Amino acid sequence: MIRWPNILRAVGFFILALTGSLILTTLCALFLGSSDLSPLISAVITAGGLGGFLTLAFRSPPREFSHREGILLVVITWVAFSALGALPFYFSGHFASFTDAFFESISGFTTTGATILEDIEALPRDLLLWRSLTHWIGGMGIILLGIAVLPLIGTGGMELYRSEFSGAKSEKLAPRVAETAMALWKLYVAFSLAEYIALRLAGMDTFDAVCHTFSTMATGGFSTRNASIEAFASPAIEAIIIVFMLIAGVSFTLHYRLLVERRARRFFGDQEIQFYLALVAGGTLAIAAVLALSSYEPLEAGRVALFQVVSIMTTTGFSSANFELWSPFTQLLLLALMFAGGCTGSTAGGLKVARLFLLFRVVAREFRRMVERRGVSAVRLNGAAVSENTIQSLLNLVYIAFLINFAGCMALTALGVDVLTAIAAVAASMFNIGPGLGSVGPADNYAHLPALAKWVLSFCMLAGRLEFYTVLIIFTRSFWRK
Amino acid sequence: MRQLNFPCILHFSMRILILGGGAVGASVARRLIREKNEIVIVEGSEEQCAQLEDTLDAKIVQGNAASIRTLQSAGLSDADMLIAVTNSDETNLLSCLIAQAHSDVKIKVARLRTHEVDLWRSVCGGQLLNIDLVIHPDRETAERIQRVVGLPGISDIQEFAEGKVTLVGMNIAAGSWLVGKSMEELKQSGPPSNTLMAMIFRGNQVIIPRGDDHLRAGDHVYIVALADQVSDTFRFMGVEEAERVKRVFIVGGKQIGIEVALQLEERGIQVKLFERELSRCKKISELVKDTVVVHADGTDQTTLVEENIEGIDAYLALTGDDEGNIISSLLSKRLGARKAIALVNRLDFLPMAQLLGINSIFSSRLVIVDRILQFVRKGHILSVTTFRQEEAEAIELVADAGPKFIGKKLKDLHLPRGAIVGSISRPSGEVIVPRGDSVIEAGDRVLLFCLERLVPELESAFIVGSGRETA
Repeated sequence: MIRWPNILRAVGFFILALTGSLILTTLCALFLGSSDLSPLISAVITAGGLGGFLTLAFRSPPREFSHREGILLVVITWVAFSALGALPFYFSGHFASFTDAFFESISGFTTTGATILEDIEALPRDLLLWRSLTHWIGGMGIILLGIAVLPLIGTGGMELYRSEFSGAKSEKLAPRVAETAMALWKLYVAFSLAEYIALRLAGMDTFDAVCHTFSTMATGGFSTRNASIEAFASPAIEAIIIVFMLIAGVSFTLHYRLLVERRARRFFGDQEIQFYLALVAGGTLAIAAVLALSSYEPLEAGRVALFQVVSIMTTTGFSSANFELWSPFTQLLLLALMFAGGCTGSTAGGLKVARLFLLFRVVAREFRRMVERRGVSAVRLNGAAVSENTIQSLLNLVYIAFLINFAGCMALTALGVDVLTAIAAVAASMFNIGPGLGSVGPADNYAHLPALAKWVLSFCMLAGRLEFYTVLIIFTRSFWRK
Repeated sequence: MRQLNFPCILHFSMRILILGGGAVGASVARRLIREKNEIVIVEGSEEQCAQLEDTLDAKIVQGNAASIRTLQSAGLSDADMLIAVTNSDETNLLSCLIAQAHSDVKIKVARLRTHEVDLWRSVCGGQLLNIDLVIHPDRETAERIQRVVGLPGISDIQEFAEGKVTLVGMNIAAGSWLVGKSMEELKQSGPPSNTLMAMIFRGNQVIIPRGDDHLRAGDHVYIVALADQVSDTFRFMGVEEAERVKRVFIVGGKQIGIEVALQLEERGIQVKLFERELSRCKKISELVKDTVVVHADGTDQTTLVEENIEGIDAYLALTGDDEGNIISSLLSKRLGARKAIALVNRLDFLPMAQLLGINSIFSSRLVIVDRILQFVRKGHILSVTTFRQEEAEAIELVADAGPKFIGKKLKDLHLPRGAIVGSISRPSGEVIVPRGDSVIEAGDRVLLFCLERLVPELESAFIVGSGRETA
């Protein structure tokens, strides 16, 4: 049984929280001296009205959420955030249609960073700020923030926590979900502050530093410039952003172990982190080598390769060079890294490094089994055996990811998009990266795609952000069966 | 040393490590979470872990509770309290030993099920192994059960204030003269001077009665009386006095059945214990003295009739199967047992079982929770007793000087509806069941009945610093 009043009331509270952040943006807009505040104010009124209505109309006592209710709450909240977050864009008139505004908004909240803006710099600064803020809110997780600060979620919290925070099996920091969520958000805020200060010291102005901090820590990718990070032409800024992208791509649970509990061995001894850094290093070397052999200076090649590999692998999607001009091999390598993504428990998307690592081990075990027919062996991660159930659900997840990817590509090509663009656009959306290849590369945008293609990609972004199951399950019949 | 914790908003509770995530561990955890404590549970079975993870706001660690590494990863060094309630005595003792050697856990609680629990108690108080509380829930429940065996009208008897105050639970039968009477009318019919109607359980409701509340047929009531007035109270309430108990049937040869059998045969009562498993029967027969162990299904009508169930003083359904216990005790009533007692561990069954007309129902799970709460709560809490579905509590505490309820007449306190003072024992040894003009002084032992949700408010009214400061 699904208790709708229960869900809608909770959604109402989340929408009120969104209204709060819209109000904050409006205040900043006043400070930035924006000429036209009406889009933001209209959005505040709409969102505030809806949130207020839901919380007042459904005065059910706070209760625990069942499994299904939890899933519905998460999906509805995300869709509501994307729709209401699109209002300032829509009202501003800079976006051709609500489809475009919604695409931009969901791309923000899911930390994808794909844009339909032809000329980003033409957008008023208050909207640019809101664009980056959607990243930051969605990065650590809307629901996770709700669990941390809203008292309305009690025991059902773990269910919600898992649906949004990648790497469900990652251990809790504190016995209580609310405390765990709070600790994660505090770390997130602390890192953001650090990055902001670093960017300011490197010479960025306040506005750009705030926006880029939001985009980096959430591994989003919205920039305030048409040329993304390339526009700043500053090795120092690039270095800072590389470091913080890498940080954001690592499990926040492990950050906690390192920074709060000071257990460095837990951090550096973690196989996922080792594999993650190895992939970054390997990808960088390969691409740098190819670039150095062509037109780039060796040092310059290393610099752009490192930036691009980190940006793609952490699913941020900033660019410091137009990699569409690079050789097809490097482009495919980047496409492959899109699938890998960051670590579990980070703000990054993708399949996640730990899953990839386990996948290799499972395949290796399959081979071993073929040779030693009676051999029994466990798949291990960080010394602990991984249960067969976990392996099963891992394989399912990978299968589903590829299925969606394929279905998305079919849909896009049916709508007249070319193959390379379709593959890259779907992957870049699903894994929340942003820029793809072909006609949606770093120097292009998604504006020219048909409206229906934009909705397909929006769906892919949300499905990817919530790790597929949460979104797909509500389309199954058994979910709705009493 | 407590490790430096990330500053969190909710940091005023105890961190409690529960070993064993079975039915007992889970119900203890659920209650302690409700009381705002941080819970970590160590459980061996992966399946059970997943289940706990879904239902409790607690950290779940999978592993062996007697493994040092597991306990450390569960945060043994940060824990304020360790509660060992796995199914194995050995594991429970071993984990307490580990806790003693490896960290400074302040309070250690272990559940033991062995018959040698008294011997263990003396060991556990020593230098080698210092366990603060050893709980043998089966024995404690058995004691409560054997107290009411000879009293068909009485469902439960508990003692407070070092035995000077008795709490009597009884069902209001349809034909009783009490039906329809208000508290005010009862008071005018001349009850023994020091008695008080403390709680009424009606359907799913709990009522802490006031003057205008009426009794109804089917109600289950609790009455506070001074120990020396219990017989008078029985007479007043129309309950037949205790007769000599001669014959008792016990169904189920689990630990608790054996405990009850041992205690009853001590009193010279003829006990028949039914157990279906032959090997278990043999083992039981070695433990008991005069009890007849019957290798048969004690829930089977033919068997019961053959064994002369008609006219037995009590039928105790103490198997591990809640539903079976409820059904078979109903059957026994029909076959002529004078009293039926059922062990029902699932708390959600309790209101229904009461409505069906089973004379008394016990749950050994609540005993554990009660004992532990005494340690978890702050202040001079002497005991906590939880009733039925954990909706109501009896709290025995020592009133501190200072708080707002001390030194005033009870009628001026404006206690919230849902709370009542059951008895006051003065340091001088005088015990009273209070009236409106009684006054609580600092140092008095107060027995308080209240709904569970009022507990924090009331504790702070009687005790200085019960505000759950960081342990």
